[in-house]
Amino acid sequence: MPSVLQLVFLFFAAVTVVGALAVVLVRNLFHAALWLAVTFLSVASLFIVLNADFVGLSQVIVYVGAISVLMLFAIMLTEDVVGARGLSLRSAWPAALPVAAGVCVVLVRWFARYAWLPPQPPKPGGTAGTIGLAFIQKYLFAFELASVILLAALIGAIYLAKEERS
Amino acid sequence: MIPASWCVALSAVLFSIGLFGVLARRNAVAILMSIELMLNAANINFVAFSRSVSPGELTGQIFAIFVMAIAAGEAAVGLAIVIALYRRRSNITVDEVNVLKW
Repeated sequence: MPSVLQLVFLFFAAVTVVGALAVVLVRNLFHAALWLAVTFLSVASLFIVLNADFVGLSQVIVYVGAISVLMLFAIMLTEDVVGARGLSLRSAWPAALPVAAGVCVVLVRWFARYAWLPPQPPKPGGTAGTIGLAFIQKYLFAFELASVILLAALIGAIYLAKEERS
Repeated sequence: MIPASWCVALSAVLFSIGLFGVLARRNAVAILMSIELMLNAANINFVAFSRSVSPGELTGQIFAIFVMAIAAGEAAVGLAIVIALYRRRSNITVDEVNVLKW
């Protein structure tokens, strides 16, 4: 008999898979971006179920708050949102189906051969303190490097998307 | 506790859905969305194994946060490229945008 936590996990896993399928298959791109937000939210819930509260909340802020909205803006700037024209999948999509299904089967069967270490109970008091200390001690260089990469990416994005004046 | 095998299975399914989207979608923005799905699948594994491999140090969760930072940068640059492409070609269907130089 699965516990309540396991039932919650299964529910959000089902929402994640349904949302991801909708992102890939829905014809209207605007709806696909909204389904993407649903998927990100349920993955955030999964993180919280898996004892990762800080990662889950970062997921809500970064993915749902920033990336989904960025996607919606890009779609509204580039596509005719009301009239979804043409097919949403390429003509060669039947070739992609066995590739994706094959990768899925290989991954699941390969991983099923191993007995994974059992999960340990979390330390009391949440994860934010541990992660914050690790960022300013052990992973300080990687942390600063990530911020430099983000700055460079955003300057590059502004330069690329800027209107050209001739 | 949720067994790690469930997380691995979910992550494999999510990754494959994202892979199908990258291969089959025509629109460049939809391909970027599928890439985000694949990155999320990787993050689920990082967080799941963080519980058993490094429950005290949370190394997996720290890696998941780095993945998120890089994903945010990647989404910004990718969407900027898509918008620049749309300005020049009025079209972001990957079947028809198949030249690097024009």
